[in-house]
Amino acid sequence: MNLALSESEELIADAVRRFVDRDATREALVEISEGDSPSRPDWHAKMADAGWLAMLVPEEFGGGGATYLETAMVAEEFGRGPVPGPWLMSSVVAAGMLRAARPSDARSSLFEGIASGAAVVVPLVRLRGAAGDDVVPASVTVEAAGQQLVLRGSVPFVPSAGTATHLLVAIGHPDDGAHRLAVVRRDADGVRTRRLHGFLAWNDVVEFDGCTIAPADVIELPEWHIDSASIYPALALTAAYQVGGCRELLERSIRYSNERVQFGQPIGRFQRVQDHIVRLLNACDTARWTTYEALWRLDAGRPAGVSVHLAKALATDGYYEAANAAHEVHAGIGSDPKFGLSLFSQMSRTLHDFLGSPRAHRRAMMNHLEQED
Amino acid sequence: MAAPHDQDVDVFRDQARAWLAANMPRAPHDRYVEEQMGGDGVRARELQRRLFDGGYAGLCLPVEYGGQGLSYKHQLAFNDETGPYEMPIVFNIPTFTIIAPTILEFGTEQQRQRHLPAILHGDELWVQFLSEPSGGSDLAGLVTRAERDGETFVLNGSKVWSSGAHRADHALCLARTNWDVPKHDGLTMFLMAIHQPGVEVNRIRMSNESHEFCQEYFSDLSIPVRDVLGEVDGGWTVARELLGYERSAMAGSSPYQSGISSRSSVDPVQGLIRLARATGRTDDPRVREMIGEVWANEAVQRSLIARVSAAVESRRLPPDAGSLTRLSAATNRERIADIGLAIAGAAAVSAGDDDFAGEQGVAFLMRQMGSLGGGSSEMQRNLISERVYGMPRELAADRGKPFREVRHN
Repeated sequence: MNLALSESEELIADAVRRFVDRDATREALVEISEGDSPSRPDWHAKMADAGWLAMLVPEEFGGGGATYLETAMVAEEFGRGPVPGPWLMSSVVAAGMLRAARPSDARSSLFEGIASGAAVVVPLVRLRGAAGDDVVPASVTVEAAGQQLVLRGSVPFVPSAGTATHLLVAIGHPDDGAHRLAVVRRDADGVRTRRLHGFLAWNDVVEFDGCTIAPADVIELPEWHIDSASIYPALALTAAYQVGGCRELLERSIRYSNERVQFGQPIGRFQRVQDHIVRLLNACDTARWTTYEALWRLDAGRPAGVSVHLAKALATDGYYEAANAAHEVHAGIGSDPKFGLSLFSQMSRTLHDFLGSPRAHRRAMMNHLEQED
Repeated sequence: MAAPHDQDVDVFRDQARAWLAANMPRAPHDRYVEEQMGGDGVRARELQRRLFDGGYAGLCLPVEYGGQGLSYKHQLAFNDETGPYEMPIVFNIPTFTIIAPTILEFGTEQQRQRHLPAILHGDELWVQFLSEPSGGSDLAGLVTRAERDGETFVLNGSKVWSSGAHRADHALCLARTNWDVPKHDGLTMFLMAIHQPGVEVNRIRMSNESHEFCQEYFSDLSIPVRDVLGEVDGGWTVARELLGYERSAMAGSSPYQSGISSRSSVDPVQGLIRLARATGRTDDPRVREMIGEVWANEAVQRSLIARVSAAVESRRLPPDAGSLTRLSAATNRERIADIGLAIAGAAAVSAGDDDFAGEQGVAFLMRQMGSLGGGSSEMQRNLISERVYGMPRELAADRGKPFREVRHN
């Protein structure tokens, strides 16, 4: 197993890092955090031009045919911002779901939209709890009305739903109960999104009030839940985004502890501060190397269940721990939103249960340990 | 003036209960404390005035300064009874628990007479100007300068993380008056009015949407020499005692704390049980184990406060032992935030339509607050090892050097 980065992977990482350094600066991210949208139109256009929106889209639909590790370079560098917005939802989770779905015109057109930047696709799936949980949001009811389906109900905690052009709603079909994906335009009649207050970054409630769906907009999805192989790329790439956050927190904390002077010396000279840096380093390294291994296994076509669930659990715990330790190092100034550190703490908590809690992934990992030996 | 209170705590408690029911408004809703904290202090002043007129202000402060001269047990009994009522909670920190005892200890008779009755009367809200952009943990390394000019000092510099300066009237402000001696020996504590030319107050928006903290800028601010608290260049002595009062206030063990809010009295264990119910996880053995852990931590914290307070009172432990309760309060708070997040999952990190769940989310963000505010946990560990247990002091690059020769931010 070789976890070193290739030249092409380094090039991708460099390009994304230049974008983050130039466009998604600390000041820009702080400003965005106080506004109404997690993204900017010019960012989206630049991401489309660079091909970052299309990495997981199959080449026949204008996609980049990238490896998972190459895609992870983008995720990790975005995580360093942390750059918020729909990339993770649309270009990773939705693209991953569509890859697992059966071919259809609706699927093709969504793929093309994601790749070109014309569509931002946000999935509505319930995946916060234990392994084997139903992916269909329990709070949405589906009724048949002739050929059409009618959706009612509301789904909370949908990241970036407000930025979507299309929503991809997991439903149990009224005919046979089997899982399908309903494609819903966000501006369709009977659809409303509303930002959730509180501390979750850019999460919305999506409300359906008699929204109708034509048969052509229903896509068949054979298998997509916390324990299915089709979700692995989304898990590993979310972990890569978390790894980016960990690495940035570590580097900023080391820098600050060398620059900040108290008692006539840099605070990094104090062992209690050094201890926090070591906490950060441990959190960062466990997250990083388990994530890279999971990505390598996915790209190599090896059994990846244990590895992916381990990576998601450790990257989640690691990001939370890294944010906490970074706050200890930065003390007061870290709690000033203008300083930008709290963007990471907010993101570490926002992603804590995204696509399953660390506990759920540990349980799933144990299931695979029995199978993969 | 109301009749003197009964010395018997149980009798006093009954009297207090009846008086509160007859004179204080019921707490209007859960959020009134936040509103007080974010507000201009007008309502709190009016409430404090009622307490004063009823003889329930400054229970543990001497009678000659407007207090009641009663024991801590009286204060605790009174606090127990206040939960259902709207109390002027905003006066507790720092005005009652930190500023008042510091003025009582170091003030001239004139300073005490000028401020203590006014504080108890609800006329003066105070704030402390200690931390600076250049330093928090190394408080004694502060660089705000006060230069003597005849019968006044002229102040220049900046302070930060002062809670509620926008609504306060007065501040205790620590500044450097002598740069040619080691850092601790060149500081002076001043009493100062906040709203006057030469003081600019800016509010800081925190991650939890609080605007409680402020930053202040002083430009050629004039302070009369008579407003020095303690000795000129003797400010560190005052600050050390003040920090002791602060630790005790932050740990919830100050005898000068008057009243509790129904919210602050919510047991964190009850909060977590409510959260587990809301997320349907009361039967999860791991969740039950974690809530049990918090229950145990809270029990230990209560007995630690009782033990340390008694030992400090009887001088078996130095006042710095307050760091023990301060540190354990901080680590408990972090653990509660971690466990809350583990129990609640997505429901907790966004308020949604449930304020309670949303508050849990804010608690996860503010997890470190207890270990940073009022002196970091690292500083508490230093105090415990060096001042309580007499361990050799850590080497410091600035010890014994004139401050102007010391490297600082």
